[in-house]
Amino acid sequence: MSTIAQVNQLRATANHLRSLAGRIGESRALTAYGLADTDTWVGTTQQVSYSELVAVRRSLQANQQELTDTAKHLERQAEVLEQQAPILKAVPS
Amino acid sequence: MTFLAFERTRLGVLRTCLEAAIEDLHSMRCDDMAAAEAMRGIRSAARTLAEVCLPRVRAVLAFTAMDLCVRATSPNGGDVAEAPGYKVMVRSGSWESMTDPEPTVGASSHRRLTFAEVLTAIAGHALVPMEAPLDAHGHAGEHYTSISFTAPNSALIGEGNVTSNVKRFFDFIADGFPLGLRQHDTISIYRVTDARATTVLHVLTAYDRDEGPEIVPGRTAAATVSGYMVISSNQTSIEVSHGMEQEGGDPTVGAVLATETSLYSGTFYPDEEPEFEPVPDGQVGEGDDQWTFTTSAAPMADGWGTWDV
Repeated sequence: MSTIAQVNQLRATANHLRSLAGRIGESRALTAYGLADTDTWVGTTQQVSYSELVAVRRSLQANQQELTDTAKHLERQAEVLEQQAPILKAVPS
Repeated sequence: MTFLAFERTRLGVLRTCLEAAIEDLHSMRCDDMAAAEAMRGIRSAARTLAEVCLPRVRAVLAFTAMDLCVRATSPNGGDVAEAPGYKVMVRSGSWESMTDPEPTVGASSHRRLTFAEVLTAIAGHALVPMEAPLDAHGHAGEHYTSISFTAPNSALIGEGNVTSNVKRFFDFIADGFPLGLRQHDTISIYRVTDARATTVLHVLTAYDRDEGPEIVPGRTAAATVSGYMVISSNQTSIEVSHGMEQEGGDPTVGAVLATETSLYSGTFYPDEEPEFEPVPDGQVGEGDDQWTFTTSAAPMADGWGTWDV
């Protein structure tokens, strides 16, 4: 695979990951816990459900962060590759 | 018996939100390998919402049907309102009340959790870890404890590969070089029933690594515990291949020298807080312990692990 292709692939992957991270951020799974508070219901079921929804939120946010970090890492790799081959900058992507 | 009170309109909004959230998660797609871990997390979250949270909310909302036929009789002649978990207790204002289907918080009140449910419960602090062993913080002469588990009734619930992408990347690179480094991280969860947990007091001094640290007499305690043991194990293998190629021969033929190390760390999440009682020192060190932990960053003796995941 040529360097241009590698750079393009790294950037495309980074874009996919950012897009997925964005979709996680917009998901209603992140906000559901707010509706499961004691204004809605009270009791052990509420406590268990609330904990699970908070856990789901945390887990998804961790996935979102991981995707964002990996995307940044891939972008940096693409930049390093570009710097190693300055002639690439003249080539339109 | 505990009671559950709920506001029907708000609970209905929660149900709609959960249905939408599941739809959101199901619609997410990314075939890229770099997103594999995140996609697993998304699917796991969708499963938790669809199979655990939403049915629970729906069950409470379905309470209307039971309310309307509260004086009706079931086929066996009993009062439907007496059905476990759905007995009508109070109706005041916009709040309704029923017997709580979840009697108490804690793993003991539940069916055995699945691998994903245990992880979710840990993240949500629904499962509380047992108190960590005492740490000497590397100070010579200070006390620290080890805790050992003998669990003949342990059952593996599930395992997950948690090797980071960085480690996988280097593993891939190593394939093309004479020196190879492979690392494999796994999380295993065991359901432990009626295990014997033994805490032993030690003093941080020089010791025989094979035999382990010396025991401070008269300070050993044990308890019978049930719960979830979460073990994180790391296997590292280093391979050095030196070619024995001859002119015209197969360049891939060579000898491989390999060394492998395996470390583990873990935490135990008991169903109930254990009650440790003193035991005679002679009952310690019989060698049948499945896991032994300290809070030391490195294992204090061969076969010991670190308390943490």
